[in-house]
Amino acid sequence: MSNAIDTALHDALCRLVEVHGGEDLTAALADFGWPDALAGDAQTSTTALFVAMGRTGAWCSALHDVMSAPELTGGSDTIVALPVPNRRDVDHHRTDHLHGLVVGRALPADVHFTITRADGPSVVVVPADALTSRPIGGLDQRLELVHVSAARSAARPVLHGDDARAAWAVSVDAGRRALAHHLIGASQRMLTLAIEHALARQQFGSVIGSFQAVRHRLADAHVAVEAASAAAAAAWEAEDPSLAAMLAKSLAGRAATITGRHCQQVLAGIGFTAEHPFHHFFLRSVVVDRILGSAAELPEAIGRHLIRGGRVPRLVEL
Amino acid sequence: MSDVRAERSGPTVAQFRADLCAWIETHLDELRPPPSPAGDVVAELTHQRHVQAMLFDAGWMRWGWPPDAGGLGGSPLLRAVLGEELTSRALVHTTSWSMHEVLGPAVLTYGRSDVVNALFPRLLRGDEFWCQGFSEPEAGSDLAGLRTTARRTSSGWTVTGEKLWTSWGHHATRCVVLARTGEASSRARGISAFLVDMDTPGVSARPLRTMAEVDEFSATSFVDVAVPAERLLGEEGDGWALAQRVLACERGAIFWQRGAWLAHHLEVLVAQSTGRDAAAIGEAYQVLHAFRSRSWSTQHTLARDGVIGPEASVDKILVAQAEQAVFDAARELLDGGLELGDGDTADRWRREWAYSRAATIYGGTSEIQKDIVSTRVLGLPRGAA
Repeated sequence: MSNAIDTALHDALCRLVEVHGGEDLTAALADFGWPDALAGDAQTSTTALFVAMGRTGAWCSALHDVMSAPELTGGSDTIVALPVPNRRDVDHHRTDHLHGLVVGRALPADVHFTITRADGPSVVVVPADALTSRPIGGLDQRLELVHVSAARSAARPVLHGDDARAAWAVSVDAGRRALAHHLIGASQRMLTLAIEHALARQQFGSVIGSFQAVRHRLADAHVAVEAASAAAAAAWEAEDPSLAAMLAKSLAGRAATITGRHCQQVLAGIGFTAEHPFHHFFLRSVVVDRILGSAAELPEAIGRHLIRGGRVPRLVEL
Repeated sequence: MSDVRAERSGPTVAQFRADLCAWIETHLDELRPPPSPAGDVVAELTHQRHVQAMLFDAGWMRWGWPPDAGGLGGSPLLRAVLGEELTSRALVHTTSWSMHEVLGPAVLTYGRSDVVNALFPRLLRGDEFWCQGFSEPEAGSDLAGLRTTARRTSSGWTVTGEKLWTSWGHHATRCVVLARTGEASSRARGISAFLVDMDTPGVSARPLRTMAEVDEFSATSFVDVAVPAERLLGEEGDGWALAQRVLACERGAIFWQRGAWLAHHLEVLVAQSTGRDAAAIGEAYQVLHAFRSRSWSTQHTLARDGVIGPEASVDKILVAQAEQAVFDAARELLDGGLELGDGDTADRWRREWAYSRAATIYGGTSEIQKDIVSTRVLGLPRGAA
């Protein structure tokens, strides 16, 4: 493990998000040369962009760029669909159809899906004109989530078995690392908002930040965010990238859950209003926690991974 | 004062680890603790002396410490690697292995060079153990309120007072004692530190049995104990700064090796898992990984700068979470074996589980750490309520 962040690239991407965080982030990223930056230094590019988007509440379709592993797409200009987390709400039972999620404004494009059949996993691709898409509102409409589906008959097989499993793992690992950083950025912003409030709001003749109940809630949030940040940084050079990416995503989801709960309580009434920006970051983190494995689901997957391997990898070495 | 950062020649971490692991493998039979009942502190410390002597003679124990203290120089990270490779094989117990790491760096910084030159090699070789006389019956979290006093005499100092929770106090050769040299109301400013020989007349240490059924710490009493002038560590009034240094050092190699010790226990659980306890294992590993990832940066900061700031309170909170998560998982996986099982293995799990309950208490409670984080890291005002 090392701290291999390119400071100049990092700062440039952060500035870009601050200036163009609204509507034109996708265009600004294209002008910046985002694909080359990502291909050249995935760690710095992903970390900077996704933390900055988390802190500012910005969003775009960059998650699909990050997940567009050449092993999976063959380097084509297609996007990789995210698995649909909720199997009850969507018509997932229709096994003659493929289902997935797309974020930002990534469509129209050809879409890769990963499916699991009795004889193993497969990666297939569906051309843009064979897709049906439906916007999803949900808790955070700014994510511009779209549910995509297609008849299986419209899909062309790309990879099967171990090749599909390995390619999908590369894509998911990259997605989990990016979303971990996004959750950390959103958590940092929630904490900043709560600290500002705790320093300004007076009750009982003192700022509420002097009360131990408030101080300890914010300290707990800080500890969770720092732990998640360390694990996210460690996920870039680990001997077992899939395990490290699960850990990063899980710990970031947990940090966002802890931070959201404590900061909401500290912000109290004002944080519950639509006027105050807190809810943007809180609702964003709740939705992003659900994508590619939540903090509630991942520990069991991590445990199964360890039991399968029969050992406890160090992952982080001095 | 000597500077622990002075000497930086020596092997790289990777080379040191590779050579050390090869050496351990060839000496495994001699390094493994002989069978003894769980919680037999005398057997444990006897074995540790033997291991330390072997490691000192082979040089491993000396890397990362300055030459004028009996060391061979090199990065302090080498000490963390040594602790990691020993505790991850359970060749020593992580708690007792931390004695030289807790007090060593602070004594190196504040001790007179003749005292350090004479005594430090003995500490490294395991000829003697040192203990930490900080906490008192009335001064736990509020350490600055301590009441033990040191009065000047013609030849040095006279120390009088009661200390509590002194780890290994009844097995130690020397004790770093914090005592008040200023006025009763002087708080942190009026505290000085002394290196006191435990066989000085007036010193007594009564073992305190823990709920883990281990005589690990003691109540230590100092009645008109004569301490020579050269055993004052630093200047009069430097005690608080030394205490801060000691606490910072605990966040160094000791935490790293504790993580390795926890990983060893988790690996034992993974090996015997039936698979239905995956969530408990995953949870423990995740918390341990969070601690380890965080501690990685702290180890490097400490090795580079020799000091760490209030941010290291985060590490203390995380290692306590990791320790409790691992032994919570053990309790779940052993499925009654921890509470009801017979035999030595069950005794050992009980001991470690019970000890882990104190992880949020010793070395500065989690609440004190949260106060440090909220005041000194987050910038919130110190409050009264």
